[in-house]
Amino acid sequence: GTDLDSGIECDGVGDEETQRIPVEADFLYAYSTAPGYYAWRNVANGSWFISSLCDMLLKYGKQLEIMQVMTRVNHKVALEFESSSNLPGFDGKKQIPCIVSMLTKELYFPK
Amino acid sequence: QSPDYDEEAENREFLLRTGEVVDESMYPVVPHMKSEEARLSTFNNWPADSPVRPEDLAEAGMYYIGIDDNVQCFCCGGGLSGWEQGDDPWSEHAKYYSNCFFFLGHNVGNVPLTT
Repeated sequence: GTDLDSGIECDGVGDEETQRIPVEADFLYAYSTAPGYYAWRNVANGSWFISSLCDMLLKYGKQLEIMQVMTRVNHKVALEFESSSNLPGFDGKKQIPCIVSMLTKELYFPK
Repeated sequence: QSPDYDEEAENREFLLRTGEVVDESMYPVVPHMKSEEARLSTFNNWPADSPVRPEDLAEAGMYYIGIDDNVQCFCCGGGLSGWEQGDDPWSEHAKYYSNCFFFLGHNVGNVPLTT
């Protein structure tokens, strides 16, 4: 692209002077699938991504860093799911989620 | 109509674009064997000389289909037989049917024994 990030002022910590950070900083995008791909959901159990996300948040949400949690979600969706369909061309398909991080620090949820 | 028009491919594309394609994998495969108690109750004619205990099989999702030492998983429907000394139901289940949602720890409606 050709956009330029103009930055924005933010409060410094304590006595530090005001800092400038990119306006695009501190975003985390957790996509259910890779760019251009379909995202699967099971008729009975819900979407592969959300059910895996809930599982991993339940198991590791309060101990692991967010990127570690999301990596485990990737692993689960990638290895534990495969589509089953009677329609031609939709059987035996796979999926990999996509983590896009603009975070500038590690992130832990409070216990 | 153009000669290279592929109606089936067009239809597939339409279903994907409208989000109508769904994964139809159904678990458990044998819903009436969801409860460990129901599974355990199938073992009344289990061969007495088998080296594997019905309690351990039922806990690992297996129920007896009444022939030789053939058991089946309520979730993935995978069959196992020919039990030998030292076999562990969970390990054997995992060895042959590692994609089973029950083995993988998904919520498939298993009802464990309340003891």
